[in-house]
Amino acid sequence: MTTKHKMSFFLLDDDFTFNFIHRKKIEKFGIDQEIVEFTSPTKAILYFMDANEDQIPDILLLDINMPELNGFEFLDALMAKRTDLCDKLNVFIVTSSLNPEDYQTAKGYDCIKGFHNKPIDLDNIMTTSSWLLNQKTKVKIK
Amino acid sequence: MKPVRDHINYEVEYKALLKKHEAVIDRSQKFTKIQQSLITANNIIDKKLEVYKRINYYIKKTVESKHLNEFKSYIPEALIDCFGVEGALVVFHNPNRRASYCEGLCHNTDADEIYEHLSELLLHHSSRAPVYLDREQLSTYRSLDNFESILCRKFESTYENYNFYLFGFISKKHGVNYLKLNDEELLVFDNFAEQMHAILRHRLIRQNLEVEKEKYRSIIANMNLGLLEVNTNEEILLANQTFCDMVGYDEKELLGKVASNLFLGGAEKEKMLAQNHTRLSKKASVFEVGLKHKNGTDLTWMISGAPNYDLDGNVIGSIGIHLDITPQKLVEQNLSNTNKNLKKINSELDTLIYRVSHDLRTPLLSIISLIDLIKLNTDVDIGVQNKEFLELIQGSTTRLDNSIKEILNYSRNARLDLQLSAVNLPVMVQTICDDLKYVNNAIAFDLNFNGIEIITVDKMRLETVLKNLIGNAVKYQKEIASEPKVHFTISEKQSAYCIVISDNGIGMSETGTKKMFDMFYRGTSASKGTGLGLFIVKEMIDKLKGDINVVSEIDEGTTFKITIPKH
Repeated sequence: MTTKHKMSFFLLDDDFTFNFIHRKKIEKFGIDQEIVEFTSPTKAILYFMDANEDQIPDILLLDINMPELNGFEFLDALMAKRTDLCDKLNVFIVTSSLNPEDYQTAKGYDCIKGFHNKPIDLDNIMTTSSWLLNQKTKVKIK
Repeated sequence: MKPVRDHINYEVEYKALLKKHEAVIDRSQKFTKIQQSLITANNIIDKKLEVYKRINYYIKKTVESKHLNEFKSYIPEALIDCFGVEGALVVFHNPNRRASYCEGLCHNTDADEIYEHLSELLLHHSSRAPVYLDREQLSTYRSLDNFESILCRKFESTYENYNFYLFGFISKKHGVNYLKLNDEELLVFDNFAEQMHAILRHRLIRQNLEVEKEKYRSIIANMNLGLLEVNTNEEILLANQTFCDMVGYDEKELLGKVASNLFLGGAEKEKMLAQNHTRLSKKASVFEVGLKHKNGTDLTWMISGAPNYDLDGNVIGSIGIHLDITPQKLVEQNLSNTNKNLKKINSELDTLIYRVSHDLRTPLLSIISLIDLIKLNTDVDIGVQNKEFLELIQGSTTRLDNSIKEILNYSRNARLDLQLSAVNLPVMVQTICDDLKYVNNAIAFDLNFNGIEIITVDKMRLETVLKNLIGNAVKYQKEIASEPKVHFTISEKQSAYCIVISDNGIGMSETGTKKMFDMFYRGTSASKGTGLGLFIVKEMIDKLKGDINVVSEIDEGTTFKITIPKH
């Protein structure tokens, strides 16, 4: 079993400024990390299609309103092609949308672990995700 | 010896013969008597037959008579003719009005003269059985001197509340034999009179029925509803004028035709078939049906149908009352179309507003985040003044973002109906307070829930209201405040919750409290607000069908009281 030393992040937002901001914030957090970023959902899907176990990120920060595919459509398309990702992904929605419908839709996805309005509070996401990752390793040890 | 014996024998024989002769005579006399009485009896029977014949004649006449007046006029005549009385009278007496009048006076009596006395008589003899007054009783009534006896019979008539009386008079000039009618004759008299009365009553009822029938006929003819009567085969038996006008056919064109074939199309025929089944099971119903006017126009009718019965209670068809609701139906259709369009427009507007707010906020949020990054960047010193500028940029941008959020809130409040759900109030309030601690860490919250926990309310609206009010209480504190405090209390009344939020902040002038709920009103130039917060609070409280009051004093603090109805 490969033990990951680095925490890996995957950023998907059509606005590269946010990817940049999120990258900077993660870097400021001062942990050992690895960041992949995409502005195109279709390209992101292609990335995941070929991704091996090591290339699957610990945390996926996902925007909702994007051209081509919105965040949910992206998840649907991805899961249809790689059903195994359902259990492996920890998705955090990061959006500037205040539409309560989006929140309701997000509740329907098991892989979505958090719903955050921009600007994000990274502390919050880190707390949740490190707890989740701990849970996972515990299960794996068993 | 022998002759003596013979003599004796002759004598004996003679006596026996004589006895026989006497017996024969006696018998013959008896026969004569029997014969006589038979003749008398025959005569009586003939007489009675004659009487019955006459009675029969008058009854026939009564049945055939066309007018009540005709009947009244020959009744006395019938009495005289059938019962041998010399005079007769019909008196109509109204006990309510204490008045009477005579009708159909016959010969030998002077009605006017005896009428007064009769009214007195009527009061004494009001029984239904025939009453016979003899000479002694009559002697009290001076003007009845000419009469030996009077027959009287009372009837209760429905005719204008009159009781009517039959009187027969028998004069002194008659022989003793005719002074009184015997029991049998009285009975015949009574039956006769009773029969007359029955016929009269029957005629009255028939007359009333005709009047009623005419009344309903007129209602049916003139009412503004179409009326159609059909048999069990749905063949038209009757259609009123309005119905004919409604479909554009003459009554002649309709009679005998099957209603469904004439007016209805395929699907509607099925519907009518089901309705006819309902009718056969003796049930009435109201339903809508679409049909065609003779000129091809489409119509919508509301039909109230009921089964029609014969005397034995069998269903022989149905009667329908028809109301043309085509104009209402059109309005309904338009309304429904308009509603559909409105819903579509509303949902489009919804999407537009979320979309626009999202697109407006995205660059703002990136500005705010980027400034955050600059502030976190400790590698390069940008100088005190630049830091101040950054703070100002961040403040303005945040305010712009707040404005967008509040406009979104406002439009959401205006468009959405109440969405009730169970809300844990203490958790909601505590979260709001926790979020506000970064604004002013020194603030002390005093929260009193009085045991209230889960309430049913529109979560989004109540949360927005409380966020605004508690937020204001935290934000508008004195610059150098000693022990800044915010109190929150909720209490329960029978049909409402009462929430009080008070602070010891900067307070407001009287003019301020008057205008504070106005759109874009800002109470202080130091305010970082948008001027929309309290306006939206008021709008939302209105939507919640609640009430909001404010008491405020400069430098003392502000108290808001909210009442929202329970659900």
